[in-house]
Amino acid sequence: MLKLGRPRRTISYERLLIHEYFDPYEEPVPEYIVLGLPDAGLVGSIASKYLVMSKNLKLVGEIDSPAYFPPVAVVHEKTPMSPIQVYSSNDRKYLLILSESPIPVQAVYPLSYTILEYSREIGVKHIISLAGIAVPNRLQIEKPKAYWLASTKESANLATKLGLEELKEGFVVGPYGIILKEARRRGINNLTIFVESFLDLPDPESAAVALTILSQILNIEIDVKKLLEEAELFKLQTRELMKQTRKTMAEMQKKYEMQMPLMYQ
Amino acid sequence: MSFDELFEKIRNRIKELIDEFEEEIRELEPMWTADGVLEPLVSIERYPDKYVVVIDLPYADFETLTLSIKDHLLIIECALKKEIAFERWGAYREIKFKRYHASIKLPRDADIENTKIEKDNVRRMLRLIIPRIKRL
Repeated sequence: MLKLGRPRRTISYERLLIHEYFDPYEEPVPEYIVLGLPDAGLVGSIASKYLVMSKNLKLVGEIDSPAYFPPVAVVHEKTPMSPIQVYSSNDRKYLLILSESPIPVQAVYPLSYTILEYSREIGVKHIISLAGIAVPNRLQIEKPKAYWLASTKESANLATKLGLEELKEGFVVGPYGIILKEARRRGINNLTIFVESFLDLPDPESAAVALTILSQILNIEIDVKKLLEEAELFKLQTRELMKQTRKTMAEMQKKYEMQMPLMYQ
Repeated sequence: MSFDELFEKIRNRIKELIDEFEEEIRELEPMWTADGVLEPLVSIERYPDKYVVVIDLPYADFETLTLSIKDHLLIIECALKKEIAFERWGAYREIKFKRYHASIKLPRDADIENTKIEKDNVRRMLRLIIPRIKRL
């Protein structure tokens, strides 16, 4: 049997389409959207894929675009679908958006705006982004450090209780950066967790750190033991995605993140 | 700068551009072959005095690792700890992956003779520190 049939509703923003297979307004309305997009070390991608598998999240939507995305369908359980999928936890507490292919440069702004508009439309309280932040000596780091950055006071409140360091200066390149700055302008709550990672090698250890922090934010249990045990398998399976993401990161000038901005001290 | 030095500088730059072009072509190729050979991911960091090359080799059996260098080409061979197949992977499910092979073109100023190799046996990663030869 196919995993998905015809969508219940299709919404269009910025020449992107969100196909829904659930009723987002049904109570309880999801409080959070978790984002796992391909980026440094594939931290968000690995974390979100593991969350889907370990929590058996339900596929409830897809994001597609004939204008911005390459003509690709990914097949899961005999069902062709978009590489950008939306999942829901069984208790509807959170939605998760993951992408199995890199976000093309020309799609970064429209996709970011679409996610923000959609979160406002369905009444989500916070968008939580899981990101990697590349560090040059990652191989020498035993336990990757995490930072946070928020678009509003409400989202900052989520982070302050975690005891992590706030990102005070620097560049953020890619969809997470666009979502952060635009969420601030629109007054939408977005908290981004940045975990130290490799730039262009998959980093399941950093993904495990991101998930541990996410479990505290969402107040849910996430056991990362299996992710760490099967880190080699995750690395093997995400090699091609990492290779493609490396190319888009180069196009986006991701190395900007390692540059020093103009500061006063 | 003498004519010879200028000529040498231009020649090196042309070689670098050809290398970059070849790399772009390679980006389009899959990272595996039907006879079970995987190409590892390689990350190269450039410092003023050295290159740091990190090679990701999940499931590698480091006992079988061989590295050789020929004409600025670093060749890595390593068997996997076990054969791996992905049973749900459509038309490719019967492929059994057995080993890694990588040919990494090193920059022309890499002092290959003095390469230092570090193995991370837990993460299955290799780190090569290659000094850079001072150029004109």
